[in-house]
Amino acid sequence: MAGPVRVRAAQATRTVAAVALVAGLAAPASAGAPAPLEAARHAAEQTVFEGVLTVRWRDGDATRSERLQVEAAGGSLMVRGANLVMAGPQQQRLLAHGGRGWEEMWLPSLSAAARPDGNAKYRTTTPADGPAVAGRPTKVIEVHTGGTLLERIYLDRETNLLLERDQYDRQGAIVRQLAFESLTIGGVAKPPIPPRSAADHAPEQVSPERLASPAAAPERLADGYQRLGIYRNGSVLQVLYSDGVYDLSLFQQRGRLVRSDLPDKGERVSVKGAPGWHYPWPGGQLVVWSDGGQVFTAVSDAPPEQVLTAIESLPTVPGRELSLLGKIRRAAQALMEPLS
Amino acid sequence: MSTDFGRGGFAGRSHLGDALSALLDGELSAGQQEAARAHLAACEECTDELSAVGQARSWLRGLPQVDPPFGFYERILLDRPLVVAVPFGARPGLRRRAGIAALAAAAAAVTVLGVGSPAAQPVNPSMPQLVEAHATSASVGADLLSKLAPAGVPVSFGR
Repeated sequence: MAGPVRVRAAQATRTVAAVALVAGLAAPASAGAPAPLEAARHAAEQTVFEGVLTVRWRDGDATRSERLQVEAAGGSLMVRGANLVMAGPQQQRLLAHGGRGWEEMWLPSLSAAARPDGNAKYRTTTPADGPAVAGRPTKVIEVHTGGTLLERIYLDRETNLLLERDQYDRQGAIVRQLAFESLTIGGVAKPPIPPRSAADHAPEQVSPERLASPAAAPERLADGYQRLGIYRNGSVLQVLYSDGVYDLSLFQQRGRLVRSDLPDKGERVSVKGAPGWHYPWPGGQLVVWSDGGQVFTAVSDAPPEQVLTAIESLPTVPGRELSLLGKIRRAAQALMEPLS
Repeated sequence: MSTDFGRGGFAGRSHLGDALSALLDGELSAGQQEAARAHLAACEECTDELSAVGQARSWLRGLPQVDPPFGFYERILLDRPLVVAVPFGARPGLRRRAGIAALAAAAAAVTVLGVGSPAAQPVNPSMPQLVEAHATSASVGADLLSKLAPAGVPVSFGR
């Protein structure tokens, strides 16, 4: 009897596995980040915790790091480093530099489109047992695209809170890492209280119809990046994109770039045949270049290759300078009008 | 200036065009100003054009005055009567003199604008501010620890 039992058990196991696989495949692909990252997002918003988070990033030949205190409760999250950063209720975002006053960076009235489905571009592995992080058991998920490992994400096995996120370069070396050194889940954390007053540094929403040229904010960029929103802050236009996992902001300012004004440490890159400069920052990449009388700054948490591919696909923005004829017309008008 | 503008409205116009100059000079009626402001609030192109026109005017007004060489007016008025018709024996009026001076200044200004003005003003993007703006906006609807926490680190790109 033992043989047939084992066979039936194996068949049952295969059936269960097949059902699970089919169920998994048949599950509607929800728009937005892959399921593990969505789970981490919910956990960060709903879990009460406090801990010390270390950010490490490669900056040229050096590796830099910063320790941040993080606490979350009641739907709010506070990051305490040299800057204070707060995610308040209803998507409010605030920032304070080095003990100075709070600045409102994002208002509940601002909106962004839903992120595209990251599963279209990325493949995530089935969660597997991972090493302990900050003394807590984890499950590890890998994020791949085109057969290349991009990230390993370690989630708290109990709450799905993100405990560590390692981003890799093409050679398989870690270029950026977020990792909890210590963490207490539950307990005594009080909800961070939003400040009573803050300077208004939030952008205003811009509808695409208001733009002089649709080329300033195409709906899609290469490599799966879709526009989430258009915002303006003073003379700076920001177009926010996402591919479902990474986000990319394209900032545009009228003018020309002066190389000597830029930090020296930039790595020279080519953007649409023009010179640009690449800088790493603790959260990803920054690329700055000039084209058609505009200065562009792309800021993203995506790998640098993706950022360059996306910005290469930008259409050329028509020059907005007055033509010589326009200058002559305006000059003549300005001088003759008082006499006419 | 189009007839639409004369009727005090901008509804049928795609852009303000020459009405921008009139707006800068305060030549519009209250109703026309209101209509122009409403159009500007909804049209980025006209807003930029208004800024460019204002900039061109400030450049022109900043030009130094140049005294014409001795006999300049006389040579224009007497040797080239087709340019400005002046009755025989009449002295050119003050207004006409001023007009000619303005034309000369316009020619000088054209030279300055066409040759000497920069194609665009230099811009030095404030990278730390842009990084913070990105981190805070990208953290909306995403994992807060991944997207927002790096903004706790002050960004310094060095020099």
